[in-house]
Amino acid sequence: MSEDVKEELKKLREEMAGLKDRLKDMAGEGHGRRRGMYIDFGNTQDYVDDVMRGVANGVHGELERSIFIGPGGCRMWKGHRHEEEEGGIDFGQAAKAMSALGQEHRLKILDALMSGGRYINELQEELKEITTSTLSSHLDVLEEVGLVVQEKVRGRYLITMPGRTAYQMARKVSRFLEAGGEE
Amino acid sequence: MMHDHYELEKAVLRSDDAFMLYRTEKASVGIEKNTFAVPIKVEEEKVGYVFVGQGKLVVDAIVETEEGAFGKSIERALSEPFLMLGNTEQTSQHFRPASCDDLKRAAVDERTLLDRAQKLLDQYASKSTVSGHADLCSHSGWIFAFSNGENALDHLVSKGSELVYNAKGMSFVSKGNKSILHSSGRVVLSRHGKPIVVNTPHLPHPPHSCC
Repeated sequence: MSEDVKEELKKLREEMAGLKDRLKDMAGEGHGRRRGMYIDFGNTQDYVDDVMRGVANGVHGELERSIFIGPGGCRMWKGHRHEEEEGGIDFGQAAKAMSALGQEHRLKILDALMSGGRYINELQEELKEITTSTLSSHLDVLEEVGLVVQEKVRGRYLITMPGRTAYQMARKVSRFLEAGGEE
Repeated sequence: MMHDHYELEKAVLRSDDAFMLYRTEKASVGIEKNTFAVPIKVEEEKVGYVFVGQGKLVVDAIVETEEGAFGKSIERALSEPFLMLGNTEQTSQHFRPASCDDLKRAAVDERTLLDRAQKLLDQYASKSTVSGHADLCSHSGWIFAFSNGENALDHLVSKGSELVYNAKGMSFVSKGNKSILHSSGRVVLSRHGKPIVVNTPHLPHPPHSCC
């Protein structure tokens, strides 16, 4: 494991410890001030601790045999994971994703989302050539195959990990073809 | 065990309108008009409610990273009783004492409704193993517990921008620009948009509150 990876993991462990501390603060005694209400946080605190501990331990133990994606997109494959990755392809699922990609407007929507989440009115502003109803319909298609996800509380649309991969693949194909197949 | 600290008022209230009990950028809990509520007390102070009626929970359990988003938005109809601990001041303004006619219209009797509320409160309180109290200031801290139909509770805990949602098969923690999602055999951690994705086929899911 590279030093960068170790450093990143260390930071994340610290962040998780910080989160736990904050949750303990939320539940802790000694804030006994003013008019606040007093609620038993006991079981929930234990429960949150267990959740955090479970995730932390699991991450530590599993990392050696898992995929790691770093900030720069670095990937490390080990053992059985490598074999799994070289295994078969879900043709049905892949075909659905490819089919969703096979539309110019949808590629433009993914392109817009590559720079960050957007509300539908923001997408409409950026993609003026697409009508509102068509835009919604395209977003539904992209969401259905998992290339885009909508936050239901805020309403923003986000490109997913598979969505980014699909977009990058489309971009590569486009460049390759532009270069006459001689990239 | 902290069970004795919680008590239900022997009064049933009814909501005048549909409204949001809780809403942040990541999650919301709303109830419909004519939802019944039973106040929860700790030492004569009202600290929450058990709701019986129709509601909706939405949690955007999505980790946003430079490599793309991971996770999904969870929308769940709340037709089983659920519990809220937190600021009751605003919530209480939407409730009036339920009349016999209200209960008749909903085809429930007061005794049954109170029993259901008590059962949920007992289920929540029975998991308590650590003594101690927390001071939740007005508008800052919330605990929701939802029956998931499998004799267990899902939890939503929030204070300010910090949120923990733990349900069967998934856990989600969010704090500002940092978030963790454990779901579908994978843990995704994001810190300021920088992701780490760990496949965890051998990792048991974090403990779930079974009763």
